This record gives sequence, C-alpha cells and structure tokens, in this order.
Amino acid sequence: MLYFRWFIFLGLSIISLIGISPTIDYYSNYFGNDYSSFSTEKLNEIQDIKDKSLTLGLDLQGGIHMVLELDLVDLMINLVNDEYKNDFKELKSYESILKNIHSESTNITFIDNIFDRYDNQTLINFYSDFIPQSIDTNQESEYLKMILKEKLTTKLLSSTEIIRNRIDAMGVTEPVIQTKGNSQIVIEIAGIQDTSRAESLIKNTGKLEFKLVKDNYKTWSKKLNKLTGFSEISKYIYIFNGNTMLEFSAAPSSAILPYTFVQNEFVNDVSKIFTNNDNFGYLIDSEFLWGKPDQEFEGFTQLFFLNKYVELSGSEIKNPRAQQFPIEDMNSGQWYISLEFENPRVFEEITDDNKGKFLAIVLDNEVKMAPRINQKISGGKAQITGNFSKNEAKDIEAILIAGELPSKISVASKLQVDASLGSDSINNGYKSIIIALFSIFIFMILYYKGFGLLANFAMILNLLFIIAFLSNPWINATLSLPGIAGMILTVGMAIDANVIIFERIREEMSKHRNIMDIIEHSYNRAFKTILDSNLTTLISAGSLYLFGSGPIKGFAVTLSMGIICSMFTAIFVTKTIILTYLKFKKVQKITI
Amino acid sequence: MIRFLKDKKINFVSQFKYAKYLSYSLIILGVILYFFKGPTLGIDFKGGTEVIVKLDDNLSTKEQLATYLNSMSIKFSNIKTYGNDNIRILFDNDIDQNLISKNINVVSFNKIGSTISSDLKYDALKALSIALLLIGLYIIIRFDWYSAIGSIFALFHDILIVMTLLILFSFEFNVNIIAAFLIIIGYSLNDTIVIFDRMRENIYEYSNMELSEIINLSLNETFNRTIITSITTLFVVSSLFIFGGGSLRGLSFALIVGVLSGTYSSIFVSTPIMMFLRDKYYVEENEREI
Repeated sequence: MLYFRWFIFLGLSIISLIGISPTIDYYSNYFGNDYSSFSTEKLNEIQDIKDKSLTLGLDLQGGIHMVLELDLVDLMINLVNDEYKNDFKELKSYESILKNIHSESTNITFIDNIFDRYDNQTLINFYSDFIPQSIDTNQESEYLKMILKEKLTTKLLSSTEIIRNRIDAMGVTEPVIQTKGNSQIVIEIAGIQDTSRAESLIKNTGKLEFKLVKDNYKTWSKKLNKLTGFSEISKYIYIFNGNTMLEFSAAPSSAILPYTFVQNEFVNDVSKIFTNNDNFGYLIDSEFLWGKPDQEFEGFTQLFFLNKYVELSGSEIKNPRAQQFPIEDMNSGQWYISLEFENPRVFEEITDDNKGKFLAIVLDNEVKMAPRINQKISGGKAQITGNFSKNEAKDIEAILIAGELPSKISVASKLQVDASLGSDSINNGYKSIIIALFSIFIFMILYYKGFGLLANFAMILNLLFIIAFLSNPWINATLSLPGIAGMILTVGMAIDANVIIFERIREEMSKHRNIMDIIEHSYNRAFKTILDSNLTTLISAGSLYLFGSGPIKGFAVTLSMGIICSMFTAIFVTKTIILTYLKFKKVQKITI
Repeated sequence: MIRFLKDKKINFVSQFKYAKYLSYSLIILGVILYFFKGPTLGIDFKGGTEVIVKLDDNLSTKEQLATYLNSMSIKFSNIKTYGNDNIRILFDNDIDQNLISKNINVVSFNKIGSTISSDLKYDALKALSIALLLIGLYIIIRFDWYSAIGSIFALFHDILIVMTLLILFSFEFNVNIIAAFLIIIGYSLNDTIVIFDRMRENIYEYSNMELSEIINLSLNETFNRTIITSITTLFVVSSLFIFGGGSLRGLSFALIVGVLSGTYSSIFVSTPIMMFLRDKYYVEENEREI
C-alpha cells in the first residue's frame, strides 16, 4: 500500500518536473530575445518549446488586445446595389438616417428599425439584388429583412477571416481572432513588439479605388468660395505652377501637379471645414482627400480634389505583390506594389477616355499616387509606387491579397502593453511570491516544527504541480496578473489543509494511544472538512470560468488548478511521508 | 509546542450581540460613503482610456508630465503615481495614441469603449450571482438551509465591508476587484465551512448538549486553525500589497480587508444567523413530524 502511494507521488512529481522544464528553458533562454538573427530551424525549435511552456497573459509579456466593431451603417451602404452607388445624393441622406437609427437601436433591432422608419419600397430598390424574382411582391420586405440580418452575420465572419489572413501575413505566433456578439471581433496578439504596425494592418478597410483628379483649379476656387468658412482656410492652400507656390485664390486653370499643398500645421483646420460642410452642393459628387507629406516641399502635405465616381475598384484587381526596384533603376532599391487587372479591357478604356488627366490610386481614403495618363494603357498591369518602406509595401500587399473589409471598422477597446511593463510586473510578482513563501516557511517551522517542514514541502510541490498543469498545452491556460495573485493565494490556502490536519492530530492525540490510530483518524476526519471547504471554492471558480470573461476566465483556471493540486499535496503526499516515517523509524510518540 | 489557545474557553456566543453592532455600523458607513463619496469606477466599468507612462530624462516627474500635457492641450481626468517609476493618466474620452506617444514613453495604452464596459459589468455580476446561488445549493445539500443562509449572509457581509473600505480609501473598482471578490468569497466560505463542519460533527456526537454550547465548543476547537490560516494568508496578501507593484495594489488591498472580514464573519456573522434560524425553525419542524 505504501509502495503504491510512493509510486503515485513520485510518478506525478516526475511528470510535473518534465512538464515544467520547457517553461524554465523558454523563460530563461529565449523569452524577450530578438529572434531576427535565428535560422528558421532554430525558430521552429523555439516555437515548439514555447508551445509546451506556460503562456503569459498580455499584461505580463506585452502585446495588443483589441475589440473591433463593424460599422453597420457603412455596411448597409456598401450592400446597396451597384446602380445606386453613384447616386451620391440619395445615399448621403440614407446614410444620415441610418446613423440616427443606429444610435437609437441595438445591433439586434437595427434592421427591424430601419424597416420601421424608412420607406420600404426604396429599401427594396436599394437591395433588389438580394431578392429573387420568385418572391411575392407583398412578401418582399419581410424576405429582405431576413436576408439583411443574415448578411450582417456572414459579413462579420468574412471580416474576421480577412483580418486573420492579414495578421497571418505578419508572421506572428498564435494570434487569437474571434467574433463576439453580432458586430464585434476580438483580436489578441501577445508578445508583439511593433504594435502600431499591427494596428494599422488590422484597422484599415483595404479599400482600393481608382478615381480621376479634378485639376481645373479655377473652377474649383470659384465654387468653393461659397463654402462656409472657406475664405479662412483658402490662404493655407497653395498651388505649384512650376516655379512658385501660388495661393489658391490665384489658381491657374490647370496645374502641373495633380495636387495642391497645405502646410502641415493647418491640415486639421482644412479637414474640419470640408467635413463640416459635406452637404455642400459641390461636394456631393466630388471630394477632397489627403495625400502624403510632400517629399520635395518639406512641411507641406498633398491635398487632392477628386471625382467621387469610382472608375475601378479593388475587387477588379488580382495578384498584388510587394516588389523592390532593381539597383540600376532610377528608383533604385525602393519598394512598390505591382498588380494586374481582372479585365484589362476596362482599364484600357478608362485610360483611353481620359488621356491627359491624372488618375489617383486611393487606398483607404489616402491618395497613394496620381500619375498623368499619357496614352492608352493595355496589358492590364499597374504599379503603385510612393516611397514605401519594406514593411509598408508588405502590409499593403497583405491587405490587398486578403481583400477589402465589407465595412469600416472602429476600435471599441484596445489594450496595448509594452514588454517592459510586463517584465516589471513579472519581477514584482516573483518578489511577492518569494517573500510570502519565506515568511510562511519560517512561521510553519516555528509553529509545527517537523510537521511544519512537511507542510512547507507540500506547498512547494503544490506550486510545482500548478505550474506544470498550467504549462500543459492541452489545458492551454494563460497566466495573467490577477492569475499570479490567485496562484499566490492558493499557495497560502494550501497551507490551510495541512493546518486542519495537524490541528486534528493534536486533538486526536488526547483521545487515542496508538500512533497509527491517531494518524488514520485525523486524516479521515480532516478529509471530510477539506473536501467540503474546497469544493465550495471550486464551485465559485467554476462559475467564474463559465460566466466570466477575459482575464477572469484565466484566473478561474489558475484557482481551480490550485485547489485540486493542494488537496493532493496536502492530504495524499503528507500522509505518505508520515506513514513512511512511522514505519521505518518505528516511533511510538510524536510531538506536534 | 506553541498554541494560541491552550484549553482556554472563549464564550463566543455571548459576544454575538455586540458583534452585530460592529457589522451594522460598518455597513451603514458603507451606505453613507456610497451615496456621499461614491465608488471610483475604473475604465473597465465606465469606459475611457488609461495610459501608463514610464518616466525618463525628459519628463522625470508627475508634475512635469502634467505641465507637458496641459501645454499640448490634452485634457486628462486623473494623473497619479503608479508603482515605482510609472505614472498613470486617465482620460474620459477617446484619445489619439499617436499624439500622446510623441514625446512620452508610453508603456501601456488601454482604451475601453462604453459598449465593452457595460458587457464587462454584466458578465461580472452574472458570474458573481451564479456563484453565490450554486454555493447556497451545495451547502443545503451537504449541511442544511440554516447553514446555507448563514454562509451566504456572511459572504454579502464581506463584500459589503470590502466595498466600504475600497470607497473609503478611494481604490478603483475594476475587473481585478471582481477577481478579489471571488477570492474573498472562496476564502470566507472556506472558513465558515470548516466551522460548520465541526458543528455538524459535534451535534452528532453530543446530541444532548445545548446548541449554544455546541457552537461554543466548535468555535473553540477550530479557533487555532482559524487564526493560523488567517496569519499565513495575510503573509501572502500583504506581501502582494507591498511588493506586487501598482497594478495589484487595489486587488491586494481588497484581499487584506477580505481575509480579515472573512475570518471575522465566519465566527460572528454566519454562525449567529445559523444559530438563530436553527433555534427558531428546527424545533418547529421536528414537532410537526411528531
């Protein structure tokens, strides 16, 4: 019987030691190091070790956690049939009504409320592509309602998939990407250093559009003069005529460059005037968009005036690739994106019809470039250049390959933790554990002498078991800051089980003479107490796990593991050691 | 052999009537504080942005940082020292991260929108209530309903006391505090169950004894264990409070209060309520059977 006990006790200890060794290896040798110099083989090996070791939460190893929210208003607008896409006026008023409805409804009631408040026939016209001929006319709106609700769900799933593909292109390990509710996507990437890059890769819609530039500034300047507040900002807008910068009011009828210039510090002021006036007649089918800070004229940002009409959209391109110009090229070493058109004829026609004009390539409402169309372009190939860094070009490639998101997304919540803060927290947690353990050690030895030592041993073993359990890839638990607190606390509480047993032994010593009787009685009675008290705690941990969210869940796992392990170490292991001691020392009396 | 209590009999039952007033007054203090001071909600529950900044040579004090933010006309709602050389700034509304991180060494940026914060609040409350319900059921099955009501009351008592002190010392309510509540529930329940378990045993063993005597005996028998476990747990939570760094300060403060209150409530709240209910209803139920 005693051998069997030792078999279980030693077996589990050895398994735990094996289980904990990758964790020790990973955190002492690889954690937080720069991997860029390692070979692929080495990287795979490290990944393997990492999979088998304890996963730290974002708060401890740094990284980014975001909850993204699909813009349902934008989604509804994007779902409108193509034939209405250029009816900018109608769409604008529809959009502002949708915004109102959305602000007053939940995501569940949104579609129903639209049908309650907007003319159903117009809606049927907007979305007629979704309605098959076979549907009876008076059933159409009910049917459409159902279809649109379904669309919201499928679009959420497809957005999640698109974002997953983009993140995968970054080559990060084990990102967590999942949908939540009916309009949210949760993303968690741990251990990532360049969080701002990740964020822009995720957040950008990936909307690629080709639009024509309006370069007749004379007409523009006349029309815009009626815009409220324009007189105040027009002095910040300049036009380059080849020699000097001219003020916008003195605009020539055509310019050499497809864009105007705004001094960087006034960009916000200019933006404000335009966005505040987006109902202004002339801005219904035209728009202004920003380019990038100018390379040649430092301190200026490019401002474009474009047709709203989309000549060609991202859905009509294929094979986007990030490439580097060869050394002998005049753009030597620069990165660009090459792409092909699904239907080269369309691009050929556009270029043929608009010779001499500028064609802007717009990605997510920022003009990347706007070359002049000198001649008809056949062959169906194009390049986007624009001083991209390698990462920028690679990210644009990833975004274009993954495709356009069905709607804009906003960040509902974001947690971004720097690795340095995480390692501070780890150090603090470590220090608290050591000090707590040390004080309990001293106290228990002073109070229970040899038995105190036994309890201390059980406590350390308990800690080993918990970490081994949590490191197990099957359990896949994540240790976060409250989790450390939970772990330290279960260690403290694990002592409790031993205290209950030892106090029992003291009591039983006055009732029985035989030492074996004392031990057996004490453990049996104490077991019932410990079971009841621990099971209730386990129940609360279980409900935390099932109904809590995020960090609370991880905490619940740690707590449950702690309780289960402590019952084993405090009852089984200590009893095994006591029984062995009694058997081999043949003692008749114990002091406690 | 050291013992805190050597065969000494404390008459706990006679102290119950005084303990009542202590608990009442603390809870009344809590209610007053709740209405006049109000809890400080963290961004988890209220929404907003929290930015943690590591001080460096450019901005080496909290005051310099505040002056800098003002000069950039960035409006913040709260700024305070956080851990050793970190500063925490709170913003009520959304804030542009690029603007902030331009000249400041931001080590953590946490933005929580209002939809998320209401989700978190709801989830937390749901988890707490279900936990309490299941615990109550378990105690009814393993013990009796007097004990169940007594222990659940003790848990509410502990949470109220912890909330009172959190409000009093202006600690923030966030997801960590919910975790603390659950640990406290676990701890306090553990304490109560150990005592109730002893009573269950003693009622069976000394069937002729008065209930109040049995309670006194059980409390005395378990008192050593109660004290030792409190001490070891307090070692842990105080070490967490002192060395755990800024982000664990609120949690560990709640735990210190919770361990003290949990120890107290298992003797002076759950036991008296259980005794009162048993005295009142146990006899009636038995008479009915006859």
